[in-house]
Amino acid sequence: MKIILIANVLIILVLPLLFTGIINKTKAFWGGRKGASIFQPYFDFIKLMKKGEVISRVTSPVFFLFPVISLSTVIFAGLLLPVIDHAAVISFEGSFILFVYILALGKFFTIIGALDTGSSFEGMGAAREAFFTSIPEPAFFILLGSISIFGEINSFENLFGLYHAGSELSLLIVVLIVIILSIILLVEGSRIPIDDPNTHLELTMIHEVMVLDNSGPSLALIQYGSAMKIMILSSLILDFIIPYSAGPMRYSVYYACGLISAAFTIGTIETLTARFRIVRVPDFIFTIVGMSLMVMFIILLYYYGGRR
Amino acid sequence: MELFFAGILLFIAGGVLSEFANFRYKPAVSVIFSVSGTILTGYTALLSLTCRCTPDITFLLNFPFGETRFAMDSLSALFVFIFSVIYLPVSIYSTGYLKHYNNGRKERLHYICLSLLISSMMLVVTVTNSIMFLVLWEIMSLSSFFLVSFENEKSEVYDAAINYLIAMHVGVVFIISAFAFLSFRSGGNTFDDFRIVLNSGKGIADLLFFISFIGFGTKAGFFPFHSWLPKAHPAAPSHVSALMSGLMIKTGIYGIMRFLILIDSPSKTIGFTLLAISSFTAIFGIIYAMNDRDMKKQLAYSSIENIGIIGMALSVGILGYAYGNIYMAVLGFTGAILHIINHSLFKTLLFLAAGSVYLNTHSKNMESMGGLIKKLPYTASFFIIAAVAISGLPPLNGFIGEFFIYYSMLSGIKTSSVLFVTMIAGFSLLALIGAIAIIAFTKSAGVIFLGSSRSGDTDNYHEKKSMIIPMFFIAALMFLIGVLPDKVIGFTSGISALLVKTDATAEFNKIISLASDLSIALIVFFAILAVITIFRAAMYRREKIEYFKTWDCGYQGGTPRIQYTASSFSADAVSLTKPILITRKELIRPEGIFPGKSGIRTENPDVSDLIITLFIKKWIEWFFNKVSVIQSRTAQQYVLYVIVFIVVTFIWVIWIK
Repeated sequence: MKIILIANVLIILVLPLLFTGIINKTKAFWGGRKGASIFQPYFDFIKLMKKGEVISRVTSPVFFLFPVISLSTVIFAGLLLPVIDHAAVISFEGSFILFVYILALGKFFTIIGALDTGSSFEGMGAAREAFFTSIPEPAFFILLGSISIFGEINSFENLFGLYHAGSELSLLIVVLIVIILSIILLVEGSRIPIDDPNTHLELTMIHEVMVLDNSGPSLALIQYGSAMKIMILSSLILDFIIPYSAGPMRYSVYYACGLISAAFTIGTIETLTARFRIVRVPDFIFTIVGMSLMVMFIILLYYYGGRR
Repeated sequence: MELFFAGILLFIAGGVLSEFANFRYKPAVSVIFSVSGTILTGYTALLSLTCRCTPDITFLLNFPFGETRFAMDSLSALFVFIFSVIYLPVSIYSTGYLKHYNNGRKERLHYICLSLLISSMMLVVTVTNSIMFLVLWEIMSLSSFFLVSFENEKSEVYDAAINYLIAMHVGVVFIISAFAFLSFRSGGNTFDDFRIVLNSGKGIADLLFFISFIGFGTKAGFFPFHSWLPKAHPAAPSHVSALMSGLMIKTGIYGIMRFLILIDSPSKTIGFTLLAISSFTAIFGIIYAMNDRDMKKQLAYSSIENIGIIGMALSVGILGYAYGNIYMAVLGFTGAILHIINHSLFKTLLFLAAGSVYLNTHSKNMESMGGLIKKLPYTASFFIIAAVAISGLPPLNGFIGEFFIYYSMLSGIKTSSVLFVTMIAGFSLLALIGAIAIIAFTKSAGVIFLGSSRSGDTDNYHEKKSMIIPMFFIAALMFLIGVLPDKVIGFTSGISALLVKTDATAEFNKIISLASDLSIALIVFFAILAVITIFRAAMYRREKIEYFKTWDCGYQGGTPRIQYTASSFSADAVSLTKPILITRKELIRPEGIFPGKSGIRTENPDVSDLIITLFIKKWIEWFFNKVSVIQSRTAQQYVLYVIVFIVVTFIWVIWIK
């Protein structure tokens, strides 16, 4: 058990940049380019860590603190999440509430960190981030609240007992959950079609514009944190897909394949689609509220059908 | 209990003595008496909470009161304890705050009213005699009215104060009618007498609960009785807003909880109706808070939101009890109690910080501020800490309360299909409220304190020690509750036991172990945060740092005015809230060949104000117009009325008796 937990911590700390590397490689592959090595993000990270920094005179200590706080929240969220063998490092009843709220703490400080520079671009990005990421939260809670009816207790580890339900309906629920969580991943991870991490026009950015003034080590921490966030959310999706009954060894293999295909899918989506116009983004995000309500009603019928 | 009354007497003595004291020693006199008074009352309450006993004292008073008993059961003790803990720093803060006004006459009345307010609040939550309750309730409303109208030379302050007075008196009518009915039916005045009547039939309890709810809800700020809050809080001096928003509105919650204790088994109707009202209150409050640009008005709306959350938690507790799920009930009530404690702490802190800003900027409009963190670093840090807490984010105390409310809802979904749907709905609404709260409070923290100043002249801004130390005290308490929730929950066991009418020790131990798990997790978070901060700080010392201006995309003519403002920050989210948030826009277009003045003005009138002015006021006018027929202003007719009255009385006495 201890080995699995240590492996979990290592996966959360080490793999995120590799995950980004695979996404970039996929995009290069579809674009017909050779592309950078999948280890390139590590080299970038080390290079940024060695650099100096340019800091705006307008900023206050909040600007220094926000990359630190947002990275620690993501690491902590990773510890709460079951990675290999459905085992989380920190696990207690209701831990998924803490998971959502600790990520929200990171968001809070990223937003005020962006406002700290006094730049109108960063204010705009902050406003968009605050608004767009506020929509998935209720959907996520409807989803997790509804499926927690299957687990004996409401901890994260026991949420994934859907396969025990063992019927066509549970398969349907899993499919819906994967779609919903994928959209949440795209929103929270600021990927195409919600946001374009590689655009060059500040006016159209969301997440990337919030960190315009960060450079050197603080930028490295921010990029590392957002890569980790995407990987954690992918692991959350995998938790629903990988069967409960797989042992640790088989689970690790499934998990590795799952992560690679998740990165591949994200890269493919980014190649195939263009990003939405900003005004269309809320409509897109609202679809997940509808879908999680669907999950809720399926579970209502499934669990209470035929009895009051 | 004698110590408690000694504390109350100290408050009043402090108020009266500061009346006679020299102008220079007035604050000192007030602080000494208030601090010693709060220590006595807080100590009594703490004793009562730890031993779970009910110390009491009985006075034999004249006719209308009869035997008046003051008793401190766990519920009263909790409220007295909160009041004592918060009044201690606020009374110190008030002396620093009032120094800026240099108006001896007003300041004198002010201290007396403050002492009356705090003593009446503490007595109103301990008294068990309904008539005495109403008298104290009235003293509380009146003293706070005088406190609100501190700057009464300003017309908006005067209007807000009058509005507050009227709202309180409309509210108290409902409490009086509920009490009158109960005491008529029971033949007694005390709450124990009421208990028998309330439990004599199902319908009676529901009806009386809702009648009294209108009264208590007006004090607490439930929708649609809330509209005095966003007017009175900005008008009052900041330490008074802190006392009113942090403490006084909780007496409304106390009244509701007292009724819930008196009713043996609150019905599902009460639970579901309260849940609906409270969730709408919470959503309504936070949407208005997100939109508002007046920093104190925003805090007032956020109080409405938090009262809604407390109401949601209470209703989850009631529903759990009504459906026979005691674990859910205990969790819900624990969540409500925690949120009451937490809200008093962070809302007080926010108002105190806002007061410190107001003394420097002389404005409440956050659009004209910015960059204050450089001149007021402590105020800014405390405001940001409180903003994190009020958004319900870990590791501070706000999260603890919300965690238990979420968890109580979750624990009910297996009980019945109706509960499944309502609890999931409540669950997601709470998440939505939390998400909007983040928008609201990143907005105020960011626009007021961060960036660069929008109005320019900030040279003589400063903060005072007498105002910083009280804020530090409250912030420290918030961290303590955030990291050690299990200790706090231990104290509240008595109250939940009163509300669920059984001891529920097994359920309680489960909750405490859950809370200690949570606290371990949060300590791990602090450890991670500390490691990364130290790592980053070490790196910061080594690296080469260059200071430059903010990246402006090559645009050279930037001024602080091009920063994102509060209204632009929330504009996207506000655009989705149309059905709830009413916006009135007044556009003056540039016209002609040489356009003159042009501009735009928006205001967001409160829905319940609109209802009152558009409908209720009309009906009342219509009614009194009809009635005014009997008022002819001729003496003969009035004499006729007298004769008719006497004749009717005669007939009634002779024939019917």
